[in-house]
Amino acid sequence: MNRAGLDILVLVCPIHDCLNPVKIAQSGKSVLASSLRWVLNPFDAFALEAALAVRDRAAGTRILALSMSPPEGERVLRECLAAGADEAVRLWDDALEGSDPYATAKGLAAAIRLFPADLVLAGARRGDLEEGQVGPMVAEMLGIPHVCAAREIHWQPGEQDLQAVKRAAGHRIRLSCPLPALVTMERGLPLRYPRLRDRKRANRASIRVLGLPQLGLDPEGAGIAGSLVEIERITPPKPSRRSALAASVSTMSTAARLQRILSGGVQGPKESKIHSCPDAGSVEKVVNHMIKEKIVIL
Amino acid sequence: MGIDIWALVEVSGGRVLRVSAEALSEAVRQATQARGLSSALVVGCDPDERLLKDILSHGPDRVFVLQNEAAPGAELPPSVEDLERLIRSRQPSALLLGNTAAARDFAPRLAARLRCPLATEVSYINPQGGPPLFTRPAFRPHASMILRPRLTGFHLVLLASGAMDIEKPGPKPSAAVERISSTFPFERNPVRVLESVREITSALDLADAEVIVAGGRGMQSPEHFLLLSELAEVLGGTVGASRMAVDAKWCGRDRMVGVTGKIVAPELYIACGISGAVQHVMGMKGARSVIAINTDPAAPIFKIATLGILGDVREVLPAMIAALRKARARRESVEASP
Repeated sequence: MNRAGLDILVLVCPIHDCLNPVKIAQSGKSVLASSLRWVLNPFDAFALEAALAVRDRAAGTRILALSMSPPEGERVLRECLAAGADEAVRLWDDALEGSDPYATAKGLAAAIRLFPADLVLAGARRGDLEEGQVGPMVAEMLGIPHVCAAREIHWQPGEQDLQAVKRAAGHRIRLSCPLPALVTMERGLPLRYPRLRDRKRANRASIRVLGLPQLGLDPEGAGIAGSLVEIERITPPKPSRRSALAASVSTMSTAARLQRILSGGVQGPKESKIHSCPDAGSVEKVVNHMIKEKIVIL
Repeated sequence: MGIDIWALVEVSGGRVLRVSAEALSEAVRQATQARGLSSALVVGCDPDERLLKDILSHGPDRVFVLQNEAAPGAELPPSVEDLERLIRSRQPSALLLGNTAAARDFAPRLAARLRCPLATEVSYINPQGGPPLFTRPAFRPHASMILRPRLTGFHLVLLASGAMDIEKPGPKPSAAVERISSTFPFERNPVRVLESVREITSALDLADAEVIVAGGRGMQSPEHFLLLSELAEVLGGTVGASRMAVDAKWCGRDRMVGVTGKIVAPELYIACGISGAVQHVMGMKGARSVIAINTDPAAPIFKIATLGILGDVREVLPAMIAALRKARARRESVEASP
């Protein structure tokens, strides 16, 4: 192991920017690729930042960004290069389409065996699917320990162990973990912004693409065929509770109430969710309503 | 062989975690529907009489207690090794997990080791007589997804927190309790805890907080502003502020929510005496639920609120704090004496 610095592998993934709506394909099993707006998974940006912070203090550190992603996602690897990754590798084969977290982890673990690292970093979860399985699964497949949802990591040149700081159940917990290890990062570290010069350099950089043969993986066991779960259906969400709230009608005028009844009670006026609370008793009623509707969870 | 659905029951502070109670209730419901067995797998401590009674009141057929001789009394998460051994030897049909940091940590590793399907953030399980279907988020808020396991047999389900109702149908007379010793000494875990320090909730970073109680000009005075910390404490959240409150020096600038302050997206945002100027709303509109308290029915904050309370914060807040404390006490007494 290179003790003046660490060989760090950062797993990154392009995700859909959920500020934009998605269109569901006619099959109901996927979303239309044309409706997806790819961005770097925000949690992965913190994983990369954690790697950069280690390199700031241990100059011998090398950072490689690795992503299993179709060509459309290559931009996120360029973002990593612009932010300071030394090298980027993309892993793709059309047979990988439809991979679940297990199949994804299998592909990534095979790639990591080609690029042995002291430390593997990943985002604690992916924002669009709210899934945080790939990191620990990769650690299991590689047979190395893992730490989930760290906020900071610390390593001094020469040390055998890595220290990680995480928050759980109102505690700040400091852990030590022997290297090699995998750590998934939560939000927390301040991110740096790449300079224009670095962005331009990243845009010109060449990114290696590895296919299944280089990984020694069988297409029969990749993608959906190698997955343990598959998508049965993608559906529009249930109407949110924002639209359906009980009204306290006592403040309504007769006219407003009549209008409400005649409108079928479906489209109430905006004020319908506003509860008038002149005294403690009415506040208590609203509080109980909030608990019942799970707006407030005790 | 009939169906046998397990739920992992995590214990903290001598009490069953709420999310674990949800998982156990769902396991009992699924098992009842399929005319199978349901089992509670208690980890983290050896339950005393009262705790055991509480667990049994959810109605499982069996309770397994995973005992860790190495660290009796310590509330530790289970090791993947112990769970693997138990699942391989007892062969349950499924293990349901509440959404805790520990479960999110070990469940994927366990699934990879057992090579079994895992669905996370599950808000609904459709047993449909055969292999179950799991509803979970995808591209929220624009869609959600239904997952199907590709392998029959054992699967892991990590439930979304708050998705399942907690029920206490009462203990089954035939319910049995079995204690199982851990065979994986905790010292063998390569990841070691060096230090664990309790954090004060109000020091929680705004960006991380699940609940934010924010105050604005309507709070009127620094004394009233303190009510916000009290409410935040009851809800396990932190305090935020509008520019007005920061300028009035009722709290530090690091608490400011808005375009020039912090952009936040908590589960719950309680806006107290905040009118809802666009600069503020830009900083908090990502909140899943918004409760607004204001005296002005025309305040723009009500337009984006999930629920609005028309009243003076200085009167509403103390009543709200009292009502929440009362509700919590009521629930605790229900949980303590089933």
